[in-house]
Amino acid sequence: MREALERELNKLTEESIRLISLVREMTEKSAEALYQQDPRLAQEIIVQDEQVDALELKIESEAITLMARQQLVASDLRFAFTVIKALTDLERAGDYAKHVAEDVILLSKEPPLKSYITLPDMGRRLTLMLDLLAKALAERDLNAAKELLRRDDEVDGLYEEVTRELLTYMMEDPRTISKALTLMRIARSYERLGDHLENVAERVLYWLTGKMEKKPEDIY
Amino acid sequence: MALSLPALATMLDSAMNMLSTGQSKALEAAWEQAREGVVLFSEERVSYLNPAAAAMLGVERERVTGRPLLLALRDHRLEALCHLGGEATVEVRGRTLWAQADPAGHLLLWDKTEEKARQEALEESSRTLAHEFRTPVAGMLSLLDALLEGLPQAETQEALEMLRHEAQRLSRLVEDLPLTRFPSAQRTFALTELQNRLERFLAPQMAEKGSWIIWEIPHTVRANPDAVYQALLNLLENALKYGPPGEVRVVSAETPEGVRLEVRDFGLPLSDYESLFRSGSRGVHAASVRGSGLGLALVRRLAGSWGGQAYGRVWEDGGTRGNAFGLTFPLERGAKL
Repeated sequence: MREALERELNKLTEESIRLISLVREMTEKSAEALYQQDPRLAQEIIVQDEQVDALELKIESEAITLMARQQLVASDLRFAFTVIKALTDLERAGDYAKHVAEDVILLSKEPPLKSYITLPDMGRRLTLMLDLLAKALAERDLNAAKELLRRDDEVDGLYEEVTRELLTYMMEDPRTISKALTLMRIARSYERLGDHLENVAERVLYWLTGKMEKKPEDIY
Repeated sequence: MALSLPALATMLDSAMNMLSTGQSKALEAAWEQAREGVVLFSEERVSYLNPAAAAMLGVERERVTGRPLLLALRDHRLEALCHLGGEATVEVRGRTLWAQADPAGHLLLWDKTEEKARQEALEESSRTLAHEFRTPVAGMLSLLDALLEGLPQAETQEALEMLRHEAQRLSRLVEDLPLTRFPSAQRTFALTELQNRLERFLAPQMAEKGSWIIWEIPHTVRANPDAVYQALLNLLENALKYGPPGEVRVVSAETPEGVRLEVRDFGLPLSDYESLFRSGSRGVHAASVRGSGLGLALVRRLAGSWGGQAYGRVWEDGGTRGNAFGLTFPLERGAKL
């Protein structure tokens, strides 16, 4: 009985890792597409988002079936809930990578405002955060989840930096406003993507420790 | 121990065949030492991975051995490679891995991160070199055009001398290529030595823009004059390209640390100077002007060759202000400036 349950739980972990890996690939490509100003690479991301959506539905249905069939308790129950809650966040994370891709396509139609260094750096940091998330989930690694939370603060710091820089561009030369606004939207997408990963990491911590560390005011 | 992946794959295949001969322990010991990553799997589960593979994948061996492939690899592309077989380059955990897999049960990994970084560095230095050559060659072409159109005797002589000078400088640049840029040939010289050459060389650009240069450079520095010429040429070109038409000042001054040499324009002060010194970065006003964004990165590297620095700042003088891009020269030990 326990063996069958373990198998199903493992399956759920595997599928979740697959979802994280897909979102990671999209995020990595979005940073590369932005750095290289490559609309074709950006187009690939848009197509991949459909895979993410399909996988989300598949995992959700598997998780619900598991909960209906097995009398889950304690950490197993928390795990199933963690996965179900994480799905929404990961799907949104994929959406944000797609938004970046769409903006890259928009930007590639005109000469760049400048070399994009910090924005792709934000994207690369997010891929490292997704690596940490996969590690936390696959190896039940508490430290990886905590490290992810710390990294999100760095991404937030970069977001502030980019926003300030772009504001200066806009104030100095109004001709840059349209492009700077698109770049600002990219920065915002990355910042939000990071926030969704932070949500998942907090859920993983809850699964592993049984304690919800999030303060009530942070939940909404 | 470093082998090509195909060679390693062959070795692995023959090793698997030999397992029955009792050599498996010796082989496992060899894999444990290998720099290449080796992952063995059967029925979708990891049966073995060597320390190199664990390091490349960022996993702990004891936590992933015996577990499903995807939990160890944590990358759907690598998992697909294991199912289908073949080769691929994948970015995993901040590393660039070249992977080769056989569905029969092994995945080999080769860390290409350093190679990729070297490749990128090479590409950047090629871009830098192209930038460094473009300016003098363009100057020489305009001199040659003037000569072809015909010049009075005295000016012909002057143009020929300048051409010879530039050709010599390019030749020295080429000679220095394999080594650190401008490694030797340092000497103490008066900055005014560079004035005439720069002024004549930039004459076409100044005329086109309606600009002129005021020189206030009474100091002497110790450096390779070619390197200083190249750095100053880049700074002046930037001022002529991106600054407003009119006066450009070249000013030197003594500081407690040595000598400072600045090119000052009267443009609207920029908000951030430091980022412009990063390779590939261009300023706000640069959108309409052709350029690669390499100039200032190069200037900084040149300044480093004589132990100095390159910087940008807002300069102010009695209500007038603008952008200053400068070079520093450290105090020469025992010498009087």
